[in-house]
Amino acid sequence: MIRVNGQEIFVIDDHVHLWDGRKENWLQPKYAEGWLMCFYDYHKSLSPPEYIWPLEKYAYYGPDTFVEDVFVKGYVDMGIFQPTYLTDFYKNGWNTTEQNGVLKAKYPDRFILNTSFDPRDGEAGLEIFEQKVRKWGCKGVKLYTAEWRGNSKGWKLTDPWAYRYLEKCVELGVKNIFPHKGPTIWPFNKDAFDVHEVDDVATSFTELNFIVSHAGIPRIDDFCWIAVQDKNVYADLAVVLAFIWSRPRYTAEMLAELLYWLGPDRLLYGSDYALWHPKWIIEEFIRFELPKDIESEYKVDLSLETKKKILGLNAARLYGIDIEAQKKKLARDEIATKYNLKPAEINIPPHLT
Amino acid sequence: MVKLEDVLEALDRVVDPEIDLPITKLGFVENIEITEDGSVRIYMRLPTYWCAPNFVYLMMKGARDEVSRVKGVKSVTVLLKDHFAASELNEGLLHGKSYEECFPNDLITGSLDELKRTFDEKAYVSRQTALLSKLLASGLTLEEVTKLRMCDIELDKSGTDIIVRCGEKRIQIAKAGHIFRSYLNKMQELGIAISTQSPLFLDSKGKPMDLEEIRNVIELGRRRRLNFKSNAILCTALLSSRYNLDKQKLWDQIEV
Repeated sequence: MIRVNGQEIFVIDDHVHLWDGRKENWLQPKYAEGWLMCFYDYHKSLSPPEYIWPLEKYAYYGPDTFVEDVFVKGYVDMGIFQPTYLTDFYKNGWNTTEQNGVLKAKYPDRFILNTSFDPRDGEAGLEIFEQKVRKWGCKGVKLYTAEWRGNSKGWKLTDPWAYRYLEKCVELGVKNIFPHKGPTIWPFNKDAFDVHEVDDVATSFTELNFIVSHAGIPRIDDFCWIAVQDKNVYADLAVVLAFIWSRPRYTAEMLAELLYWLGPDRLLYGSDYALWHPKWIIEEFIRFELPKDIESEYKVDLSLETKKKILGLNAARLYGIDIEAQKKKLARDEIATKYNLKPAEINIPPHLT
Repeated sequence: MVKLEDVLEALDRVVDPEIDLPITKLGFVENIEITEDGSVRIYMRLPTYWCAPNFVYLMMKGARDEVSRVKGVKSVTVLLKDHFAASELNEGLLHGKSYEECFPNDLITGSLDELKRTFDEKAYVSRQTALLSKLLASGLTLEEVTKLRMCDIELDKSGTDIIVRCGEKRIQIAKAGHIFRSYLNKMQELGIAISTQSPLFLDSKGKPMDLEEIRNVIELGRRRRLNFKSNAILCTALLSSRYNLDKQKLWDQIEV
């Protein structure tokens, strides 16, 4: 929680992970290592130098480090776990619902646990999916469409079985769908990153919300177009905000474009921890200003009210979080007590409010 | 004897379709070996282990084809490293295989030509918008810009600036030469036929654009340009981290 010029801002990080990239967990070493090193390059390339970890720590940082980085130092009140299975690459998966579930069980009020489905699991998978949802009370799923599974190198949201699973989501009240277009659906000729299928499913399932991971990067142009048509499409700002320290002007262009197309109510702050850390992102974001020329070109503004929405109000609305009630619970929880947590006081110049 | 600068110039014509910038400027060409008998080996590297192989194939084939046309070149080999499909692509390119033939056991749907066309059109809009911005920033109105013809623009002697004739006006726009040239190049690649009397602004099918269409393209182009820039910044940042390069230097080189 932060208190900005006296105003409390509840922070929900819509994109966090607790992964296990250690060698002991590698199933297919070439791919497991390739995945880990790719993630590590993302971390190294955009983090301020003092936040860069050695590879060994990055491969596995563990629950205690997570809690300290995200809730204690990172200003975050609640985190949404977005699982990534990759069971073809890792024996126990990269960060599964079950792995994340350990932290959720320990600190239930701090986490929203999203689960996942894979339509290639067919009929049998539907049953297992329902069990997971009921066990954890899931309101959201992360869908990694580029995940490899044996000979299959990916699937599409518009596949018939994907529709069956989305219908199941409607039935079970799993309202928030988090599509993630990953590195590749190999080796189809079509564009693996193409986000147009989100348009198809968002139109077919207007009762569901589609929060697209990292605003559809590397196809943010098409994403914006889709989000204008479909009001149930939202942008997760992980990766987008990661540029805020090294490329502030470019970040301003991105935010302006997203505000222009989606408005302030459909953007969700996310860190993608531990790719990047909430602390530096939030510190930069709360003080962030759109340059005057960008403001006047796009005719948008990034007021404190808009930042409040992006940092927590929008996610709270999607996941049914009563912020005042939640604040009371969290003020007394194990983490608040152990670390004597208080809202961090941040002062910003008046013209930014 | 094959000249290195000729090989580099050829490679400057090969872009990453997701970024619309030359692979040379992006740092994807790690090394070039030229032997006396006219064989050229091009060593490539990429931002991640997972870069989509269809785009990678287009870049590698593009590199091979462009360099094959250089004076004195007898053979070209393109070699990629540190990528999950490197051996299939290297071997495939060596034997002149199509993309589908590189991966005989996998399901390939759609056409690579179609994919290339999609991204060529994105690049076309992006380059068109860059030229439009320069023209509008110089003081010309949207109406004036809509009426411009090919014969109304020429490069200055150095090739760096452009000179625009609009009615009685003659405007020199600094540093717009490469923007104009790159717009014309893409027209050519898309097979858009032009003459000196053609309107300057044609859509990707070669039809003249009216004022409303140009206004729409400005908004579309802004999104396209942001997307290309986004990929440019991210990909070069990842490449720098992966291969210990100077990230800021690379960013300056690609002017982002």
